[in-house]
Amino acid sequence: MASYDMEMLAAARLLGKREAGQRGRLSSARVRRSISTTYYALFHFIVDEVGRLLIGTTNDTRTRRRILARTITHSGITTALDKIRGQNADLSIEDFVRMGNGIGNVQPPEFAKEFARVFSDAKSKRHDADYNLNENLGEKDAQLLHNRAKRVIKDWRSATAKSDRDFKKALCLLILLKGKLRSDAA
Amino acid sequence: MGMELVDLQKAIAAALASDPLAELVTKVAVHADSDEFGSEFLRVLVNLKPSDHDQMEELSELISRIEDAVAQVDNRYPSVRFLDAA
Repeated sequence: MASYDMEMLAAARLLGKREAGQRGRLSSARVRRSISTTYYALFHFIVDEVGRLLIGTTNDTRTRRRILARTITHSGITTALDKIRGQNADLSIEDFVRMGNGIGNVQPPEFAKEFARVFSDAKSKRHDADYNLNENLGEKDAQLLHNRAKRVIKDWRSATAKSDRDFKKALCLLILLKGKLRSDAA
Repeated sequence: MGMELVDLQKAIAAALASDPLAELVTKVAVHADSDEFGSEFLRVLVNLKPSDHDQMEELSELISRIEDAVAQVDNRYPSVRFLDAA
């Protein structure tokens, strides 16, 4: 059975794709719904990951995962991911996401950095797609966003090295904490 | 870290100079805005000459090139959008 994020990506693809022989521009409504749906695919993917990584994947913990999912906010994900999309992790979280007892800058793994970038992109485009009709969004934007979202989800799932799993877990905890540790919450 | 928009525009144009699609890019504009949570971001509008070829792979790389160029000089995320020249 396909995961919910994959079903949403498939729906986004259908909305943003021309039918055989179709000419002219796709309607703005289809382009915008495609972009919005791609954003929600990423959102539900990361929410699901938080539950899977922090609670587990067994059937008897499904209710717990669903309750936890309802506590995760868009702004919390955004704040957490913003802290890992640069060359180095934000100073306020580097000790938290660091594996081991090293010192110095922490470079987020490529799969996580790319996920954070595409999430930021999708979020800003989703907002324009849903609320700001003054901002132009076209077929290329919808297709590119869809392709990028599909790629970063695949890369995230493929990142299974011990250090990758450790980083994912730290990041998921940070998302639960709405992107802020006590040290930078004041 | 946050650059003046005109300087960002120059940094992006310089990064795109060596891009395989550079010849198709007619204009780059950068606007700053805030999202619903108050985080600042950049809208990067790239005007392209029309082309019949499927350029999705190349455009995806062009976006990454812009993201990398901006990440070196500015904390704001550059959301790249494409406009086809009429």
